[in-house]
Amino acid sequence: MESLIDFLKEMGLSPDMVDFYQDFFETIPWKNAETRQKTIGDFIMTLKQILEIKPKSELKELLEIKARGLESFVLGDLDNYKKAINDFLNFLKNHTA
Amino acid sequence: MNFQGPEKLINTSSEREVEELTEQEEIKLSPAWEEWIETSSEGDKEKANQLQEMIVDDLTVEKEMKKPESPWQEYIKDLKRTPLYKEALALGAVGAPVIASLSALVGYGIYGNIEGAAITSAALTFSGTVPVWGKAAVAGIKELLFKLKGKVENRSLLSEENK
Repeated sequence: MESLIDFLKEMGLSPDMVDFYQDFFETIPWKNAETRQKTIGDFIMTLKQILEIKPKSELKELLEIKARGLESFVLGDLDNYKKAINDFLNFLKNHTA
Repeated sequence: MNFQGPEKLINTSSEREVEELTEQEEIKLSPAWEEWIETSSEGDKEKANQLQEMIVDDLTVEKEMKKPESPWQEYIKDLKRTPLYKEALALGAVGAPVIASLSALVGYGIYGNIEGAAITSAALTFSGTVPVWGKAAVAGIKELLFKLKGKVENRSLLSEENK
């Protein structure tokens, strides 16, 4: 978990965003400790692979949109949830040919 | 069904965008989500309608994303060239806001393998009775959502400083 937190901090995410992702991964009902470690490791690896191809600013933006979407979903906040989805669609609009 | 295709997703940017998409196709919710709505809304009909609208919106976007011609497929096409690429984890990292993340990361975590992500995705989108193999996934998602709600209620990312 420490490695994920460090990575997200390096990405420039705000402390609250980093806390959110930490909460999310801590709350997953993991099969066992080994699965937890492997999944988080693979997740970080995937993010690093994305960074080999996409700019850091793009990945940061996506992670922020996703965190807001997840948070508004669990809180039942319809307006902000719709905003997150539309932010995601606009992201694709702005970053694809 | 009368989707206008990915160009519809790319070329519109208004707040009505998702509403227009969902008006074009009926999404029948999985019993797993029906149960989540019922327990989360605690008898508040307006709240239940809001939760249902959010899930339908998300499933609609996710369904569009999975089409070969969608802009998301274009966005991730370079990632598929990397040897360690796992599409489920990429969905978890950068996919649509909720369902794709839950399906990918939680399914991966509950079952311990990539097939688990697919099982969870099926359990959350299958409109019939949840099969036995999907029960653990549904229970895991519900556990996650309730616990996460308790953690984030006092600390909102939607505050001005995070916008």
